[in-house]
Amino acid sequence: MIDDDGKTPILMDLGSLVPSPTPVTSRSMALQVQDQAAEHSTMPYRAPELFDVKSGTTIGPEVDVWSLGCTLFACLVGKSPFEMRSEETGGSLSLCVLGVDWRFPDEGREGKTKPGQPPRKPEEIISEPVKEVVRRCLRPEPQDRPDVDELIVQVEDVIATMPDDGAEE
Amino acid sequence: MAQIGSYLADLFYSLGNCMVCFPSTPQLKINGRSLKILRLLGEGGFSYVYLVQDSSGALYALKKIRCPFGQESVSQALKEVEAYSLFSPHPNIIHSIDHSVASDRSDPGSKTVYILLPYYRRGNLQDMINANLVNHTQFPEKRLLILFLGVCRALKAMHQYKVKGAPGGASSHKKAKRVREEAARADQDAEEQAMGRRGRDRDTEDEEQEPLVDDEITRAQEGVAPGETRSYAHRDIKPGE
Repeated sequence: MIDDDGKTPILMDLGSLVPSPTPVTSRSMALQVQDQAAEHSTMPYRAPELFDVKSGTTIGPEVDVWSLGCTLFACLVGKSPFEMRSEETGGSLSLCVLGVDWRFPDEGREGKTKPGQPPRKPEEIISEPVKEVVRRCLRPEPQDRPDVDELIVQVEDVIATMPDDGAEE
Repeated sequence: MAQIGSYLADLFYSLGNCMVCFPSTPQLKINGRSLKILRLLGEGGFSYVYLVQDSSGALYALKKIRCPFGQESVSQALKEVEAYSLFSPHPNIIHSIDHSVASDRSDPGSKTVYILLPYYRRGNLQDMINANLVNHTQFPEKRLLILFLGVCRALKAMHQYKVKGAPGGASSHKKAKRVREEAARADQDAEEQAMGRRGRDRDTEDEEQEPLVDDEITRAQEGVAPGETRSYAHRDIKPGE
């Protein structure tokens, strides 16, 4: 939700909250965690490690950082990176997530070469530092993703370098 | 003349009846607070969210969660209230204003949970994404990142939650615990009511009611000293939240 001032996001729906990290000690527990994720975590934003939970692993808060990356991408592009990729390729959503198969619309083969597409206006181009935030959140291995503190520092740094674009209105 | 009199009385009576049967707006009472239901904002599996107005004209979002016995437990439904209490106050996490658990008159084993939440007229990020898609507009990057930073800060409060620590301290912790106890009592009551009616089905029901230990929020803090970190993961971050 967005607060009435338009600048303050309000997180809601904590029905999916779980104590974390969750050590997965047995096969039956792995299945339980996987079922729980299937029920409560929305698929296009769900981290790969929740699709195929293996016993002997630990599911940590890195799953939220992944979802944050998907969310930022969706705000920039209009939908989750994996929803977009699965629509482009016709492949299944879960395969795209598990293969970490995604790209920015102006990158890779598709983006620019679509016939009949007008050239991008300068304000439609996603700036490199913002893309970098998304890329780091969407690293396949949970331990490679930034933790929430590192992410906050990175985002603050990016904001500090940006020109004023009317955010203070 | 007397006939016309009684005819008029009849007419008024039936009109009056009509008014009772079809009130202009449906009303609801939550812990003594009268709420007018204005419209449905959204719905999910067992839940509905309504836009409601109290007698002073203030707007709220009211979440109604049906808990038929054996399918959805009050503990699960009130889990979000428990979580809101635990992290409150935080500028980037929603707080619940009030909640209540009602029993179904015809089936006391069925409970309905009402959660009163603030109403945000701007909607959520998904609504803004949709508006952008329709209008072919985009978020100014800086504005978007400022919003994103707020979400990161909300997550920080969860990932690095300290038992009985900032910002709400022990009182938030106590409140969350009370919610859990209330939910457990309601589930207990639902079970007794349902058992009373079903009698011998008990053995099969017991299996379904096994609690997911993994789910517990305040219980997960047992054995963690005050001030120590007990992390939580949200597990469902998306623009629609």
